[in-house]
Amino acid sequence: MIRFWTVFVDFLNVLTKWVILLGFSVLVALVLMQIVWRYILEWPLPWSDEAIRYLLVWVTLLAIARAFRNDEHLRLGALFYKCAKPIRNFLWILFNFLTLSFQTLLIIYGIPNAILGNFTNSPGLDISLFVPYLSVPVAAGIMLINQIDYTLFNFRVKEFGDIRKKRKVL
Amino acid sequence: MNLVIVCTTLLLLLFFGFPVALTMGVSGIVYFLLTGGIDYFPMIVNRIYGGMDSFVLICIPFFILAGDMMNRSGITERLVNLSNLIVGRLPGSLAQANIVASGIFASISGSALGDVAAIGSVFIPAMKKQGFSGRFSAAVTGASAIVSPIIPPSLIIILYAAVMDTSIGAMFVAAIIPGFLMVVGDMVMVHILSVKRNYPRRIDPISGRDAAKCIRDATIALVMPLIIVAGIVFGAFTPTEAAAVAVLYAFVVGVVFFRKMNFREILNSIFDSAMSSGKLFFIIACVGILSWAFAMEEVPQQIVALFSGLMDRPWLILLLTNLFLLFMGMWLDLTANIFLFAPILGPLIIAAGIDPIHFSMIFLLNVNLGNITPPLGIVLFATSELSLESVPDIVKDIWPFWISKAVVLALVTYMPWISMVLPKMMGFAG
Repeated sequence: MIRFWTVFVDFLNVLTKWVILLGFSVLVALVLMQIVWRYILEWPLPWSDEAIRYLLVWVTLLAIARAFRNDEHLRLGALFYKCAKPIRNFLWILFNFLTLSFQTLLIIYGIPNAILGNFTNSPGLDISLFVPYLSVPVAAGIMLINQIDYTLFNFRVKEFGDIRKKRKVL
Repeated sequence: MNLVIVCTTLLLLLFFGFPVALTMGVSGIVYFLLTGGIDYFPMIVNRIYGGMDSFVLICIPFFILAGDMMNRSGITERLVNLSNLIVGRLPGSLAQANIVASGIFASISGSALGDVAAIGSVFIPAMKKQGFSGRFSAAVTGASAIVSPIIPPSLIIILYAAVMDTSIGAMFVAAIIPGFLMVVGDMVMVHILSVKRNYPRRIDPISGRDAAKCIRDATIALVMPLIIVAGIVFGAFTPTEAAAVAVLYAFVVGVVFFRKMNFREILNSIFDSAMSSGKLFFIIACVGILSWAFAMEEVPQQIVALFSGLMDRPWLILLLTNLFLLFMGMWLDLTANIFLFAPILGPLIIAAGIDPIHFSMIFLLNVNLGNITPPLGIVLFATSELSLESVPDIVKDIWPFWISKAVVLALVTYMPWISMVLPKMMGFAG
């Protein structure tokens, strides 16, 4: 069971990584294309601004989700490590609870928000706003999976806190 | 009362090491629970999405990518050589070169932590080898790194301009003299300490041929920030377009000129930049939740009302805002400080008749100085991790540099022409 879970999470993160890479590359290409069309061909693309914005939201949200795998988000960790072990363990459990709750809220309220977007089309690209709004619950789902995996890993190595050096780089 | 509970939650979570972005989000949710209950919860998703879906912020990932590509192209080594050429004959030459390299690197990276990693990894071991103490090497690296977010083109200037709707071009130009003064202040401190402690200087001469190569290599790299700043200031590009051109330029430099970037390096650069952007955008998105709470409590209006008796004494308002921002800079990351407090203090500053561009420089210098202010300045921890010196040890040697930067802050605060002369000359301000 644990093996299946690990393979699934690793696969999900590798997939996310490639989507981020592809998305970011397309993003750079789109902005450069926009410059060529606007200044050289003097024929501005009406849809490019919107496409860039939506793609950026997707890419950054996926990157945020990926960062949860190794707990890479910015924090003031020094005081946490100075606390006595029982306090540190308590804080670690509290932080995990708060993080998991936050991610769950994003999924619970992100799905209806995306469905609501289905009724409106964007002015430039003429696509349903479901597409950009879906980024929040999808990314929150990956965040949640990564957070659960991170929590399980902590329990497995019997150490709460900085485990970054012990994790496999994907 | 609600606000007191929210602020206490915010400070406690930050203090004990909860991620900065989540701290903002959770504190905002605490406010929702205290006021509207779960009826407000759909707002969380709207604020997260709305915080990221901004046209002005699109340039940020491109600036990060351009800086990262330049770094991978071996630019650090070339800037070190150039700095050594410029200040190598001064007492404590390697420490002076560290400061100059940071100042130049600032125009490429725009981030203090990026500066610590790139410049520190070269200079700290080299300085130790030359007889400088480890803690002094770390202190010089940390102190000089905080010039990065000030010298244009800077990421935090773009963020501030996006939040406060000020001109990016005007802010870029306004930051030039304060940034230069910060570098000069650090150099003066190193000179005094080097003479006192008898630190070494470079003795071997550099041949004319080596000097020419060194200048040529560094110039190729330094064209990038020039493209960005000139493009934006003279209105040739939007910030996003300038950033995309910078990416293209960095790509050409890395692949064609310096030949340091292969396909794998390019992929790594894109991925690392996307991850850095993601972490930054997460803070921006989550701050949106908390700033909504502040707006609901009418905090900006309350602040203006609170200070209404002091409107005829703007110097006092500036002193109090300086103290507040310096304190918050110790705790919070630059991005969070900008998104939380700039909209709160903005109306007060306008009511007191202070120029918004002038105040933007005061704001950024303050929160930036907080990064090396003990006990929680984030740059202190980054230099400690890199140099393996303890934070209290680094603090013992960083104080002279902290004082020099505080003097620059005081000058910028009370002599507005320092930050306003260039924007006025360029026609940005009346």
